[in-house]
Amino acid sequence: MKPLAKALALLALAGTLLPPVFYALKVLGEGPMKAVMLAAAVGWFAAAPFWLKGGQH
Amino acid sequence: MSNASSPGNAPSPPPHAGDEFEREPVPEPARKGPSAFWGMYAGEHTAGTEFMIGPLFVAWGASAFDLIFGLLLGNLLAVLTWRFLTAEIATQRRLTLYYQLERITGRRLVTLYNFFNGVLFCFLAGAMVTVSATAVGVPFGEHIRMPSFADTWPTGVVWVLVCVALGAAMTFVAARGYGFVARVGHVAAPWMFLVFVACGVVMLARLGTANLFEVIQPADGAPRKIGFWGVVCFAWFCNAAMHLGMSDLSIFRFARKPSYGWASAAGMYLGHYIAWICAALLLVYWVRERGADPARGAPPGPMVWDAVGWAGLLCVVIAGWTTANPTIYRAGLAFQGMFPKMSRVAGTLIAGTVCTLAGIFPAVAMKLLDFVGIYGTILCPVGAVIVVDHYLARRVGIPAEYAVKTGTSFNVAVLLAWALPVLVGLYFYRVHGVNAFFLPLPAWLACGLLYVVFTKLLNRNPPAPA
Repeated sequence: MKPLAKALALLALAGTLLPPVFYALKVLGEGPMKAVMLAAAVGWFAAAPFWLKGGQH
Repeated sequence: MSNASSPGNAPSPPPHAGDEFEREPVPEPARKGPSAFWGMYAGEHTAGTEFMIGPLFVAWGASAFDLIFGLLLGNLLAVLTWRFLTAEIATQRRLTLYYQLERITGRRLVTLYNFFNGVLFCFLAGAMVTVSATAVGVPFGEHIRMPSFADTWPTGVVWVLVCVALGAAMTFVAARGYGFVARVGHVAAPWMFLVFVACGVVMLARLGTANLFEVIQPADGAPRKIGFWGVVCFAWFCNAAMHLGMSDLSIFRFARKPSYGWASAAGMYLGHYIAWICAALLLVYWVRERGADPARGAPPGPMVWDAVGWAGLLCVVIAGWTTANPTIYRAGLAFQGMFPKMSRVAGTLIAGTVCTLAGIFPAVAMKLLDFVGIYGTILCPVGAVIVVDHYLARRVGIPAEYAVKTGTSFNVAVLLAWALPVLVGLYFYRVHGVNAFFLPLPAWLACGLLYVVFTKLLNRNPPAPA
């Protein structure tokens, strides 16, 4: 479970950072950029808790 | 700034769970490795208020040079203070600020410190409510008037209702305990930081250049209220209560080595450098392309919504929520500490009510640069008392841990040494218009000096302990 969560969480982080970069390079429009970032946000909060075990420290 | 990561006056949730060792040195088995500190500082200094501070620098007329090099130097000084002052004392004594102060000042004076700490926490959490409300209010469109930097009073009924709803929700969650929110905050931190970066990238793309020196320039004819040294001092002292003021003794007492103090660099250079500059770019864009008045600014919610959409709004709300909640919780503990018969839930409800009222009035959030300076000026001088007690007491011939040695519950020398510099500092702020972020260091130095003088004058013949 944890490796899968880690992979999904890292994918979500990439989905947060790369769309603005592609937008800046003019290979992605504003609408799709915002949509991918929202999907990445949902993906992050779904996967990251299983990876980071937050709040244990 | 940070979300008041360490209360100092009360049991401090991160970086440890379980036994808090409130009145004893942290034992060897309970000490933590470096990763806990790097992660905690990185997460806790990417807060909702970062969305306000970056744009406020722009509104105050900071240039790209001021921001890039001023923040670099100011954050370095803050990290050095954490590393060579706070972490050193914390790992030698391994006590909370609260208990260490009590051993010098006596319990009743610590209660007074608790009061100021609790009230200032409430106002800080109120600023988070304000920031979050600007995001929650975006879907209301024309039905809500968002506050500008010039607003100090509520902007309308809908604004008040949004703030009350948010404040009530935050208070309810805080009253139920700390764990869930701490977990959400910890998990959200890496994502939130990238949303800040995303905002910066989108703004640079829209401005058509990656040259920060070209885009971040003071507006023509606008008064420059902050320059290079102002930015340096703000970056250094916006967390003065935590490093100079020794609040983070509560954190670093769990560190195995004082070198873990370097972990504060994660918070300073991610949250207080990259995130602030990215947030500043939001207002730069709105001033250049949307015709926003730099002096009045624009609320963070609509700016972030415009830049990155729903993910941005979510980030503003979560950043505000996860940082306001522990602040309300800690303020509740501070009030509970003042009135031991009061339940923690009652203390939290009082703190949440004060915080919600503070959030309705945008004054604190919109004048955040002033507020954090005042916050540091009031709280950080007591840290000088601890530094003098730890390093200098024997050399200058005053008793260390005076309250322990004498049994006093109220060390008047500490009260005078703390109150006089604060009052003088606030006088210069109110009457002479000195920026508040220039005041913590002079107040801290004066407090340390006055503590030696007043102890020699007032405590010449310490009575035997009761």
